[in-house]
Amino acid sequence: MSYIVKTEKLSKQMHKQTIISEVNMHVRQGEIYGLVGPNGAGKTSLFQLLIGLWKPSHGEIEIFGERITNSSYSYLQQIGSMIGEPVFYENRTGLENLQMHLDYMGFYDQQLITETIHRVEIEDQVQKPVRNYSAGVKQRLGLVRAIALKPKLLILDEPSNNMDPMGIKMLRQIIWNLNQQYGITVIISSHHMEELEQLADTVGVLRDGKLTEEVSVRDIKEDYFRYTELTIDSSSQVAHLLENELQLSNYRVISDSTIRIYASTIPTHEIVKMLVTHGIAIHEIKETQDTLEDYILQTYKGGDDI
Amino acid sequence: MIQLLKMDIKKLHWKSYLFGFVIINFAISSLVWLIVQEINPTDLQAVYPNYPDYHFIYRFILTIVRISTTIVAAIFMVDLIINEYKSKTITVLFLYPLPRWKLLLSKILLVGVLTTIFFLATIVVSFSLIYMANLYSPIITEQITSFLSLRLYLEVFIQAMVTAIIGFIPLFFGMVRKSVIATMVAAVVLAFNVYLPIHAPNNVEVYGSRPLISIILVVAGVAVVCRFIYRTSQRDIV
Repeated sequence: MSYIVKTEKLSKQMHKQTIISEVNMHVRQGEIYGLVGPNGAGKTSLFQLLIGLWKPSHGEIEIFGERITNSSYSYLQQIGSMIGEPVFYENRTGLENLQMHLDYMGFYDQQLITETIHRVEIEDQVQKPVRNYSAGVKQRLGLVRAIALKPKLLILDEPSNNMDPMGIKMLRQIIWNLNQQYGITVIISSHHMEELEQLADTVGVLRDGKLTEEVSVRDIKEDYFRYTELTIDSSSQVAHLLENELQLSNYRVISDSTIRIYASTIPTHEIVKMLVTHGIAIHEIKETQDTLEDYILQTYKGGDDI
Repeated sequence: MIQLLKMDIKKLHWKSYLFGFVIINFAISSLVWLIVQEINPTDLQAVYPNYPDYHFIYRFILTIVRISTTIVAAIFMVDLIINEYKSKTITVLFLYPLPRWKLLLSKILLVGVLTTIFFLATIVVSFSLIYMANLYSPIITEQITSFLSLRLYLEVFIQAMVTAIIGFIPLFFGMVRKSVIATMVAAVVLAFNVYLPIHAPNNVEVYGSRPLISIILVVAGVAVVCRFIYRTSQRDIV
C-alpha cells in the first residue's frame, strides 16, 4: 500500500506534558483524510509535526516516502498548508503577500495566483493591506496561499473557521475539485462533521494525543451508519432473542424500549417475524442512518467507558 | 542566498531608515560642533596637547557612531528577526523548502551589511558636515590632507566591522522572550558601557580601549549568531 504520509509511534512532549502519543497515521496517496477530535486533542500539534515546525520527541514521520529528519526541508516544496489562523505581513497587501510566497517558492507564474484569487472570490480585497481584512477574508487568503501552487499534499487545519456558509460551501467544492482533478492528497481537520462526511475517504480520531481509530468512511457507512431501530416493551428481552435466535451481536440498546440493529445481514422482515413469533409487541420500526458525528460521539463514549 | 537577501530587503522600512540616518547625522555633527565651539582650547590642551585637530573630531564622532550603530543594529534585528517571531511570520518562512540556517543567515548577513554601511556612511557624512562647517567658521587650522590616510580608512573599516559584530550581542537577550524591549535595552546598555569609556576624547586610554576587550566582544557576537542559527534550526517554532 502506498502511503503519502506515514507516522510510526510519533510522540511529542512539551513542558513535560505528552501532547502527541505514539501516533501511527496512514494517509494514502490521492485520498482525503479527515482528522477529528475534541479541542485540545492534538490535531494542530500533529500538523505542526508533519510540516516540520515542531520536531518529534520520539517516533518517525515519512512523507512522500522520505524519512523526515530535523534538517529535512525539500519535502515542503510539495506541501501546501494552512494551520491555525493564517499569518501574513499585515502591512502588505494580500497580493504582495502572495507574490512573496511565489518568490520564496521559486515560482514566477503570476497566473497561478490570479486564477486562485478568482476561485476563492477575493479579487476585490487583495489590493488592500492585510491588516484591514476580516478573519474570514484572511482565512480565504490563507487558502489561496496553500493551494495556488497545486501541491501534492494539502494540509488544512480547521479551514472553515471564520467562514460564512457560502465560504464553507465554496471551500468544500475547492477541496473536492483539487482532489478529483489534480489527485491532490488532502489532510483536513474540522469540527464540521457533515463536511468531513461528505469529503473524507478516511477518518482518523484523535483523542488526548492518541490516534484511537483510523477508519474508511465507506466501511463505517456500510457497517455502522445504517441501522434498524425498533421500539418495543423490553430491550433486554429483545436483545436476548436477537443473540440466541438470530446470532446477531451488532446491536446497541439505546433505552429500555429502543434497540438498534446495525448493518444486519438478516432482512428486517425476518427479524420482525422472529420477534412476533416470540410474542414481542413491536410499536415502531425505523430504517435509518447515523451520521459520522454520531459515530465519532459513540467512539468517544467508548473511550470514556474504558 | 542573493534571492533571500533581496526578499528580506523588501521587508525593510527604507523611508524611516533614511529619515533616521539624516537626523542622526545632523545630530552628531551639530553636537560635536557645538561642544568644540564651547571648549576653551587651553583647558583641553592640558590632557590633549594637539587640540583642536581633526583627530580629536574623528575620535569624538567615532564614539558617538559606535554607540548609535549598536542601537541601529538592534533596530535592524528587531525588524528582520524579532518582529518575524512576534508576528509569527517566521512560521510562514520556515514552511518554504529552504534550510532554516539559510533563511536566518540571510537575515544576519543583511543586518551585518546594513550596520556596517550605516557606520561608514555616518562617519563620512558627520565628518564631512563638520569639515564644511569648519570651512565657514574655522576652529581647526590643520590641513585635512595631513589627517586623511590609508591607515585611517583601514581603521575606520575595521572599526565598522567590529562594531557590527559586537552589535549582534543584544540578539541573545532579545531572543529569550522574543522581546523588542529586551533587544533595545540590551543594545543601549552594551553601547554606553562598552563604547563610552573606550573613545573618550583624550589621550589617556581607559580600559575599554584595550584590543583584548574588543576581541572578547567580537567572539561573543559571533557566538551569539552561531547559537541563534543552530538553536533555531533544531528547535520547535512556537
